[in-house]
Amino acid sequence: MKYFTTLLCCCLVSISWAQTYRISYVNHNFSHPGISIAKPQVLTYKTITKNKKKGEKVIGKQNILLPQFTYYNQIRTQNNFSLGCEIVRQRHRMKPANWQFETGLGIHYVRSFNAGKTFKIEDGEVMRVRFAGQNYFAPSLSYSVGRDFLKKRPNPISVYLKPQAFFLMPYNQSVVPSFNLQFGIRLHLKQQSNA
Amino acid sequence: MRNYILSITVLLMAVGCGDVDIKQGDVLYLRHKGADMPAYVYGNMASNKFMILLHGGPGGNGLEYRGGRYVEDLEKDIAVVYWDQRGQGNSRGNNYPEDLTMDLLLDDLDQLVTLLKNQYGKDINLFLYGHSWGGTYGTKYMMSEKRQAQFNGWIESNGAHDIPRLNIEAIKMFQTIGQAELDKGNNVSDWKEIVDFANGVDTLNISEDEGGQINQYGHKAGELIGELKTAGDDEFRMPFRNPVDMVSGSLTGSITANGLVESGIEDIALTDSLYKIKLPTLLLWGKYDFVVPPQLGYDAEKLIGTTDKELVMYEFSDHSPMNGEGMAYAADILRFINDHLK
Repeated sequence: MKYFTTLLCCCLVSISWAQTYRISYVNHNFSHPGISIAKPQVLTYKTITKNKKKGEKVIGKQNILLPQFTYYNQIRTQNNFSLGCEIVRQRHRMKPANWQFETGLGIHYVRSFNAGKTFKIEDGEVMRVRFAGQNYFAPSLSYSVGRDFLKKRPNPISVYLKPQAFFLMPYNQSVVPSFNLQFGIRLHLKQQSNA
Repeated sequence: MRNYILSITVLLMAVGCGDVDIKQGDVLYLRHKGADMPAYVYGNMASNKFMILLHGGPGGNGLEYRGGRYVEDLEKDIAVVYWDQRGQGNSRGNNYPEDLTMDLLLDDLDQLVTLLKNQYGKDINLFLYGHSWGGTYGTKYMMSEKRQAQFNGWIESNGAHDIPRLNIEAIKMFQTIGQAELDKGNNVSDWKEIVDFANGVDTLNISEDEGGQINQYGHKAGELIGELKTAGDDEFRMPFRNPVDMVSGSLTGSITANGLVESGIEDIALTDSLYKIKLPTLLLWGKYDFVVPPQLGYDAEKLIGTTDKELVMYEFSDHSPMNGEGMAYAADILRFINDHLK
């Protein structure tokens, strides 16, 4: 519970400073559908301009704090909620293309709820267990590729594809890797934001 | 680009949506000693006939048996309880390997029986079915008269109720059937590898590693037999349609299997104790089962301590007769169940 509270506080603080929303469809372990919402906060930002033969090349480099909430449903089995935060290193090729590449490292709290009635039996008496499920701590690694298709601002939307590996622990006396594939959009609320 | 994005979205949604059919039935979780174990109840619950399915492995899951025609036939008439055993399939929790003993698994099944009778009525007709490792589990459970009293009947399909004997009989099958296949010139290189392996095993002293190798060759040998009937296209089941998470399920399943092997399941030999089973029993076996050879079925038919017992041998099947001869398989199970109602 303390993990959850800490992460929730981090997220609320970060959200109030966020300039961009990221909303994505999630596919968990190639099977289970879900949704993820993130609000990045830029920690550091710099741009590098290089003059090449083909023209000017502008590269942005950012360090981003990325609090995120994810839900995915394992049909008739589990409803899973995860709250976490990633530190993301972004490289943004602004000119001539408009590609964004990100590498992230994060920690998450995952809470799963059994998608069915849960019972325990004590002294022969069957009792319902409400809100039954499991708690996991989950470090993550991710890599993301994104692109703005409209090069001129104001540009409200860009898209990205993000594979993300989690390591759920403790899971049946072990550490279990799992995989989220996010296919999402970035909503830029401020014109100068590229996070 | 727009079409490309749309295609990816549609593909991901299709993959993620699962099986519509899976939305029917009940899902009950049993919480016991650190594990939440799901029991998926599908089929004709109004019939008052319930069959608990003990899956194979260890390391398998209940719902992997829910594919093909035989299940459709079964579920029209009875309710099947697809249960994920502790540490396998969709079971979750923090049960540690030192707790993984056969006694704990037997307690789990006691609890499941109590739960089902609580949910569906004390007067339900309850049958226990075990396939492969589930046959080990179920036979061990049936060693107690008190536990037998909970059920109307016991159905063992290709059940590994005596693992040391199973290994010896598998070696014999590799040698006899393998040599016959070599003489016929069928799959020569594969059979030669299996027969050479079998000839090199000291059956009086089979190691754990050799036991694992026998299991692998057993599956391979079954695939090499040309006479077998295989599952038709209508019986093919995409892994995506099973709500068991393939990644976590297979990983934790193998960890649990290792834990159970360490706790001594490889030494379980119940042939000499089969007389303790007084419950009506149906034995189902594939003639070409190299994984759990038919000799174990013949032993059980001879030694189980009741006259109400029957062995059905499927002539064109290996370790999983439900795949190749599914309709006959389901018919035999239903006949047995309907003959043993309260």
